[in-house]
Amino acid sequence: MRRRDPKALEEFFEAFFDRVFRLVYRLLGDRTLAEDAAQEVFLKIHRGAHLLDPKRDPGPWVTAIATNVCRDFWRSGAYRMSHVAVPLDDTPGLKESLPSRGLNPEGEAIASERTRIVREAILMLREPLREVLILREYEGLEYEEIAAMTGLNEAAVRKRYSRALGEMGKFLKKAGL
Amino acid sequence: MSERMEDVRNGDEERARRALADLPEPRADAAFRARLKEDFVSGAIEVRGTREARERARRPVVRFPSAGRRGPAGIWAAVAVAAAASFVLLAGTLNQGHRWWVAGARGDGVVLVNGQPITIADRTALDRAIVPGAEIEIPAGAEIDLCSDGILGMQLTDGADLTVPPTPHRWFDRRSELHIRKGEVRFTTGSQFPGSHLQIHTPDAAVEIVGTTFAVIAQTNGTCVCVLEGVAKVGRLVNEKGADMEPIPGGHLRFVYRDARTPSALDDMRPWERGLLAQFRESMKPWLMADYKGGKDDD
Repeated sequence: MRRRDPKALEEFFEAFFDRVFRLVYRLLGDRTLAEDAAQEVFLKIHRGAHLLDPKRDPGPWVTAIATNVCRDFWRSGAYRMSHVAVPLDDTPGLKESLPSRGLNPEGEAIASERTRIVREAILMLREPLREVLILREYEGLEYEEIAAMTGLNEAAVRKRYSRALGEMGKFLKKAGL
Repeated sequence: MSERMEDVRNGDEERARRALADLPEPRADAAFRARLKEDFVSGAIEVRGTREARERARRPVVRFPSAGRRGPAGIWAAVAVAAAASFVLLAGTLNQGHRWWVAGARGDGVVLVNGQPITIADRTALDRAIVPGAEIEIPAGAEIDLCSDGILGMQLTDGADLTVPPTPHRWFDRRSELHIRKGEVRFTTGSQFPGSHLQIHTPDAAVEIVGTTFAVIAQTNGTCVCVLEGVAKVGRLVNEKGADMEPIPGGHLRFVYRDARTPSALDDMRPWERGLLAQFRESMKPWLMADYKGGKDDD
């Protein structure tokens, strides 16, 4: 990987692409932005490949790059413009997930509406709260790992996580979920 | 996620966690995945890259002084050359400006230095990694103050992306060049700066400084240069050189557009930027001004 050998790069891509895409999509909430962000992440990985320590797990490095790229996107005008709402037809995985649940048309409509509301609830969180929530819930990081990644102390991470869940839960309750 | 139930304290939180667990996993478009994989494996991603990367490709690399001509052959000539080389080496070493050091680091997040993540709180690691030529990216919500004692202070604000320049030398070859790829960087010069020339390039603009306090803000649609004190020359960047350079006096700004439009006329600086620059100028005085009375304070 450090010598950018094509085989090693391919293995690295296969190992990390889905994880990177899921993370940036969840943080940004928009497919087009997530594709731009994923591309940016892999460009940075390619450029920094020679700095990788083969004895260490590259996972935290990749996650840190992806998180930083998303932070940059959050500051951009393009993100703010697209941050109004998530269209229903832009919900990745939804179509694939519905048939497997064996729902009837009415059930499918309810499920898609529920998914839309949950996505809205995530996106209404301020970015620092959303970041901690996604890293903990979906990336499975411990508080101390998130603290190391964000530069916060562990207590602040716990507080943000709790606030994120609380705010999201209240939003869902109001929406009838 | 059941192992994390200890986190849950009330009904709202539990409701949120259940909803998160039920959400379908995002999947990338197969064609996008295949294209990105091909670019990544082949290295074409470095050429094609992202829009931002293409802008980066336009940047000039930090210039270093070119090597001098060699003397004629022969023993005496060789001795003379060796002596001259020793002198040049010694003079070059003594001529070097003070190194960059981290005078302040605020906020949270991870700074990328040459692609390596360093938390903003780890000042020792930042000090070690931030050297001339290092590519540095400041995360949102963070700020770093860099100082070269007596010469120059730079405040890298959140989202800034730049290559750290060499510090201006002490006696000769006092030119330094810096490229800001994006974001806002504030500058203030010290009492040893006069006689030096700092050139700053953004994707759109060229700025020439001979001693002043100012900010360069590289945005998506152009670059804004705000001058608090002194004078800065600002113009469009054409073929990696400044064109139509015009002096911007203290208290004013000029905007250089990314498209072919003529740069804006002089305008008054915005009050908030004036305040931020004045604050930065004051905070750096202990290390930049020879006549400053007072000791070093940490931020």
